[in-house]
Amino acid sequence: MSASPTALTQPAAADPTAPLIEIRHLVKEFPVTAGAVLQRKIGSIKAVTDVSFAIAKGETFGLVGESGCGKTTIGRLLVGLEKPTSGEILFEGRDIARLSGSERRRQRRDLQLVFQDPYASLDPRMRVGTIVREPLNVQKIGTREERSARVRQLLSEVGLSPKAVDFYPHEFSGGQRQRIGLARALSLNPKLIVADEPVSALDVSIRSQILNLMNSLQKTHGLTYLVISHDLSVVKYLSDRIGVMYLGKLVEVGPSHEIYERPAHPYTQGLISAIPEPDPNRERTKDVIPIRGELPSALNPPPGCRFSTRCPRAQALCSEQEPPMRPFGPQHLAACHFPLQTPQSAA
Amino acid sequence: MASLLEISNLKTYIRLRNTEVRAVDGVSLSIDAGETLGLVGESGCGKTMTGMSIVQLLPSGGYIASGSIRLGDKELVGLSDRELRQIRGNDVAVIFQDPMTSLNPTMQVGIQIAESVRIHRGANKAQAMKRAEEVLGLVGMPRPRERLKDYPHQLSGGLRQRVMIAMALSCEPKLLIADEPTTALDVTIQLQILELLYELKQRLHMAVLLITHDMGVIAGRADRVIVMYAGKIVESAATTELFSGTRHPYTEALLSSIPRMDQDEATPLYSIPGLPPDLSHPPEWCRFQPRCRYATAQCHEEEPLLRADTPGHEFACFNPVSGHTLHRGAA
Repeated sequence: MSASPTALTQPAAADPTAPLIEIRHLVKEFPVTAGAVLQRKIGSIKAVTDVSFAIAKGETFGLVGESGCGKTTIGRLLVGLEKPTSGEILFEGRDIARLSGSERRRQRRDLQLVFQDPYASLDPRMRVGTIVREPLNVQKIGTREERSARVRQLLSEVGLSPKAVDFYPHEFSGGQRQRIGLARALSLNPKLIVADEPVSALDVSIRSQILNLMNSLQKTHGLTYLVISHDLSVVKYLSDRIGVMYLGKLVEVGPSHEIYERPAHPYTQGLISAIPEPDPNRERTKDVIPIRGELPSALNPPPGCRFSTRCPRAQALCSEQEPPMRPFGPQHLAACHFPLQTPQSAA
Repeated sequence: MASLLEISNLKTYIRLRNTEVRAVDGVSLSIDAGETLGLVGESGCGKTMTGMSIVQLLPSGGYIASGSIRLGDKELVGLSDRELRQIRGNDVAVIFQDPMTSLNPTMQVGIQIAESVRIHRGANKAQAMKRAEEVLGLVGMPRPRERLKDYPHQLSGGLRQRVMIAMALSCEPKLLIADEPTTALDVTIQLQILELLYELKQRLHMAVLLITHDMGVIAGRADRVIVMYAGKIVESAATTELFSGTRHPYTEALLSSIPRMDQDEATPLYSIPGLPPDLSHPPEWCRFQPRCRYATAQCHEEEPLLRADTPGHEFACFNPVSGHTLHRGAA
């Protein structure tokens, strides 16, 4: 492993003090068992393998990648819904990866998650008022009246009528439900919100409402976001920096416009060129670099570089040795033996 | 030359317990042989119901209230179940968003593909399996002979979609209805599948009705586009015309609300306020009016009919936008 990766992935320009959250060499493996009775372990799914990056206060960091890349798992690890197999999660300098009990509960105030599916993440039997108030109840914050007032305030902040408190989730549209999810996430005044596929389940014209809302809430509340999505256009729109993941590994990380204009990793380039743009001229003339083949198994990832089995630039070295993360510009790193840009000499 | 498919004033309604939803409320379109027609709109606009009306695979309570659907010289509305079964899978094939709902999980994929060939071409078991292997190869399945014995759950999303395409094309239909064929797939797999469909379309000289909400997919793959809103067609044009010379405010609003990769992130995206109308009681005036930034008094009194300023480009609006619209950010 090269010199401390977090020194390289740390967003130096954004904030002179330590990052708000930093993950170091994070690993998560899910055991796979066989046999109905004995449940013996036959292997494990390497969902997240040695991932490190940092997010500065007030920044929006986007994590992008396709099925099985591990981005959702990282989101869940950050908010404590999963425990890491190894590695550290430093929040304001403290390792929160292995907190439990009351310490974990207190930590939850600072890190909240907005879930993927607005249709499944709100309890259908709870009225909206109760849903948004629940975190306040659990954390025992404020008096009954104060909580009610806060709920009404949060609902109107996300663009819903305070009257919404009396209705059930099914009486709202997908976009409105996503707003309820955001109100709930904001109730504890978190410092970091992890938004997992915040708009994927929504109609195209509703997405922009939620994206605009997320941006304005960030300004009002000084929020830090980790946005997770398979949709690179959404991630690019919201994020200051982007991390690209493939089969459990972080393959490239850097400022959004850098990633888009000068991708160093062939997978990043393939991902970008695969996105259909609403522009017929561009679509019909652009250089498409198709990524052939299928995603390998996460039970048995390919040796060396995990992308080597599908990479148009792969050579023998790629399946023998894992490529290290190297810098390609300020805060821009990628792990590739034969990258698309010239690496900088180490700073 | 007559078109391959001609839909005239189609009205498809869905009878529910207390109401009737007018899902498709007077839609006319035509597709020529070998053409790809994109049908685009958001959920509830009627695009899927229009496609499903062609093969009459309607949900419970759904029925064609009026209108005509001609395939070649054959009228499809009013055909018996038996006659429709001869057309489905044979002259017209369908592929859906989620292959898991249309593939039988308890049957090997080879048998499922072969089934179509046996029914429509009267082939015997061996001939049908041979054809199944052939078609699997055609759709780019690696090692097709071995895959014949796989069950759907053993395959990834992209491979299942290839199986569904193989099933759909096994009898070389003249028209393929593709309803959100790549929406559930990863973007790199989506590209593979869209390239495959394009290649097959060219090879078989097949017409495609591409139903999707994704304007990017439409931009790259459709020859002509029809935009639907609240059960009606609001705009129809050749693809490049639709994007560069947008006329209907809904089309313009839709294009302005999509974040593009070269977007300036400081500009907020345009977002369409409000929600589509309730199609069990649609208004008698313009259905987009409550959400339209250009609406005038007339828009609240009468329904605009489709008209064309330039040949081949129709739109239903009293105050169409000028043509060279800003697609980026809020206007």
